[in-house]
Amino acid sequence: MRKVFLILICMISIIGMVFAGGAGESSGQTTLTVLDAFVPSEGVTYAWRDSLGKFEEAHPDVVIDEETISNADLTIKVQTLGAADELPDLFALKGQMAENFAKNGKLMPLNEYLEMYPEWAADFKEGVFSNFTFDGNIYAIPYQVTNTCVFYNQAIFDEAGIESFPTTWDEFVEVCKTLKDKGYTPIVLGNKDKWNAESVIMSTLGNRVSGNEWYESIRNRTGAKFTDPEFVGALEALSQLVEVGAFNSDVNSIDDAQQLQVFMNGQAAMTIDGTWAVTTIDQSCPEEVLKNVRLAALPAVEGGKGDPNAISGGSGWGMAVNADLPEEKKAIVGEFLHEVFDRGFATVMASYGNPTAMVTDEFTLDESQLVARAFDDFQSGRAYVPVYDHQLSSGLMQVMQSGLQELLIGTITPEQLAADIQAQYEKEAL
Amino acid sequence: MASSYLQPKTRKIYAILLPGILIYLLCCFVPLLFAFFYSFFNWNGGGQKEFIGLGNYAQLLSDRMFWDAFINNIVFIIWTVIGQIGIALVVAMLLMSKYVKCKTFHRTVLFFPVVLSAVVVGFLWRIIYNKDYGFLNLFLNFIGKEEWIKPWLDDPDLVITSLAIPKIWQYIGYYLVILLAAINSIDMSILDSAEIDGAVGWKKTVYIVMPLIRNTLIVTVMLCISGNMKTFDQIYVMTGGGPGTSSMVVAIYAYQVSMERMDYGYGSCVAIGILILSLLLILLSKVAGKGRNSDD
Amino acid sequence: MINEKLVKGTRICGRTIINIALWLLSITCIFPIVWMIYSSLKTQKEFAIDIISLPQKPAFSNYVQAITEGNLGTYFMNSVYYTVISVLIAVILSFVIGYILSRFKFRGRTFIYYFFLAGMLIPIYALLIPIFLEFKAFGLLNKRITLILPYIAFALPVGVFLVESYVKAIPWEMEEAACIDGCRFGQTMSRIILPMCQPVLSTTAILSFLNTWNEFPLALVLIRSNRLKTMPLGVTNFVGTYTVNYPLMFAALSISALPVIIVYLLFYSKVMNGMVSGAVKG
Repeated sequence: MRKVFLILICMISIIGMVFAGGAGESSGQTTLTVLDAFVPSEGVTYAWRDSLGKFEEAHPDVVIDEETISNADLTIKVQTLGAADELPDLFALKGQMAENFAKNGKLMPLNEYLEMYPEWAADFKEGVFSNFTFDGNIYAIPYQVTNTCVFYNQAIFDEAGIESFPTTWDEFVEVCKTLKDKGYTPIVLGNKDKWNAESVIMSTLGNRVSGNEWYESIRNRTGAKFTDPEFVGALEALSQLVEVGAFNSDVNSIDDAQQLQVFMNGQAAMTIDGTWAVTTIDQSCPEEVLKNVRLAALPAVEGGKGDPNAISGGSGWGMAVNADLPEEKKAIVGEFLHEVFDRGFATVMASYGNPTAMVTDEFTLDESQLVARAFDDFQSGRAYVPVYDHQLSSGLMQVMQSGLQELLIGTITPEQLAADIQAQYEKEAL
Repeated sequence: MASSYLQPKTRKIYAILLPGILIYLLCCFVPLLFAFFYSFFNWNGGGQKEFIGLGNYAQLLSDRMFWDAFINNIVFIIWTVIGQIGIALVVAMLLMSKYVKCKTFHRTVLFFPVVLSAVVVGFLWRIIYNKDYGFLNLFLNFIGKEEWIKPWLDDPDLVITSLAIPKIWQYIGYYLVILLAAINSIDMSILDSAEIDGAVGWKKTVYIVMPLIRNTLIVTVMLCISGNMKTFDQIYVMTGGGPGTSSMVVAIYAYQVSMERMDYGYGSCVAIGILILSLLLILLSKVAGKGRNSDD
Repeated sequence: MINEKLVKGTRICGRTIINIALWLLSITCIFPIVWMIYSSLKTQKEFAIDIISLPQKPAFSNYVQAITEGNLGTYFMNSVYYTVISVLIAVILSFVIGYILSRFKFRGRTFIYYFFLAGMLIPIYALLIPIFLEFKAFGLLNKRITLILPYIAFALPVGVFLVESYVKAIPWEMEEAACIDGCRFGQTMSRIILPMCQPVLSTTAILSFLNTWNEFPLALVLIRSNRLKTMPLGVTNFVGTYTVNYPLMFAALSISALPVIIVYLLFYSKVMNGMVSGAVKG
């Protein structure tokens, strides 16, 4: 019995060794190791493949050694590699991790590259670097942007006799009441994963009330507090919606996909979501609902300081470069970044209905991409306000996101939640 | 217990144990010591680690979130020890009895949930608990008990129980395999003679089988406690610790501290805290198990 | 007479209830697998609209797409390779260690017991960075042997404890008899005890196969080459930044669940063989 085991082990090990021979690197070639999250069948992946193919064709002497992992797992791997000083040459970096990595000296400033190719630098949209900029240094090239907006079902609005999308918060609350009385879920939200309410609603709503100054002061720690009326007011506005029953009762137990499912089945009048929903709605929404989908920005809050047309948006992910990049690779990495993440990349991405970090060339959207086309019109000329979880610390976000779950079921008051967030904020300052 | 003339020399014992212990040392114990070492530092991934002595442990002692999470774990463990091992034991006895038909079929399919990924189990149970089209509420409606309909995963007081049920259900098969192996090792003639003496059904289980598989039961409880102190995937998929932090458990908390806040020093401290608490719970259960036995 | 009939009647009734209850439990255990498989045959659109309904026309192309896009062929073979080797070695080591711990008294016995227990109790996410640093120092990263070592290590505690508790229940007389017949330690262990441990070793094999096959965090951080990656990594290929392609993911998960079920069916008859081969009396 044991002999059989031993023989088996030996055989399998030998087979293993045979296959284990590493791929040799021929002389004169440079290898760039890349760690990214470009998983199959996403718009950004098509753009990446397309650009990467062109780069490899133009640089036969460069070997791209790529590893792809889904984004949730990527953060674990990048952190582990970072702590062990084993980061690859280039790697995808989450905005929230950028500050820690930059302060720990893991990232190479990329300003030089942007100065080296001024036309390239000029193509980036305003504000897309803000999640990756610390002390004037830019630490990652953003390749993807997300925005959020309200998707609503015109047919349900008509049925409830609502003539147009409300422009003030009070009207908005009234509209929710009317819709509720008609038997619809006014706003469907899937907040199970906790980031949703904060990312797609509070980031925008917070700005409507507080305006940009308060937020800048929070981010730079120059005196603003979460217990200021600017922020408490925004929480109260959200609370008003909760009070009239604007959200589905299972708001904290369904996820983003189920949220869209309810909306696409015509059971909810509105849903608030990010631009990733655009492709899903275009691909999966039944015809009779799809033709009634309209887009809107969250209404203005009375007395608020924010721009009522702004939508939240920003670049959650960027491509960063290892601070320990060998000198001889520096030039080729510059070429890589500017040739791969170029207008062409942005254009391919846009043609799949994704917002981009860069201006694009002319592109056509398919007839079937109804919502993508609508979004393209909708977003033009609008200012972006930052998404909280792109820029504020994870500790703070955990408190805020958990607290918002409680706010949505009425187990915490706006004042209490604001105090909790402020307590965490002060703790982190130490 | 061991007759001395059968026991090999101690040196020989060590030599035989060496390969296993070496591998374990390298891959499990040394990293654990590393984690213990980090727990005395303030470290967020950079080159600098700041020694803060017992600072992290002091923080842990007064960390409300950790202790709330630990209480959730305790509730979870009580549910699952009773549910998983209890049901598995009952099913194992039924499968050994002559009253049950299609034994092979039952034994086979009861293991199916164990092989499913937490994503699938979590997804399905979220559908079962769903308020609109959830099977559970449809069923309660069907039997006319509308008043029992509850927001299963949305009620902070209910959520831990709602999460324990899928976990119990999923792992019945796991403990069933362990218990069946142990019960099978019991000499069947003992059971037969007990039956002649009139010990049937529950009496047979409690007075004859349980003592005979006592060692295995202790190990099973140990596995159950350690597994549920580390419970992560399924809760992460189903509620992520919510609503608020009402279903937070220690493993998710340790993950958040280390992997989301990048506070590796304190994260290691939380992990060591979990290790110590688990060890205490296991010792406690062993003492309880032994105590009851001496009463017999 | 009437009383006897009544007793018999309740018994039949009791048996029926027991059987029905067991059937209900079993059905709840089958449904998820059935659901996963038929969901893996839906289009993404069908799944997005209705999670429960059957596919209108089974889309077997999901499997083709999952296998090609997810690189599942290579990953599957790698997983088989790592898992088979680690489980084999882990079962042998667990047997030896468990046997010695349960039978003999020696210095350090208790220590070794708690040594194995401790490793079982720490959350894996706390060990990722230490293990990575250690493997980096030993030059063990991203090799074919990389994952085998920790997989053996992490399978050991459960195996050791199961064997230890099982051997305790085996009467000591067996070995004494063998000893009188002139068997030495090694022979006693392999000829007398090993066959008797078949059920517990099969259990260990099933459980360690299950855990090793599904292991994720270590494979994620210790391996970087595609040619060395495992199934669980392949499955996450369908988790996008903001959306998940559930039908493809379920296709991959269905493929991934199959080997565990096969191993269970193979070993499980051995669990039930019980003491037949060892034949303990008294």
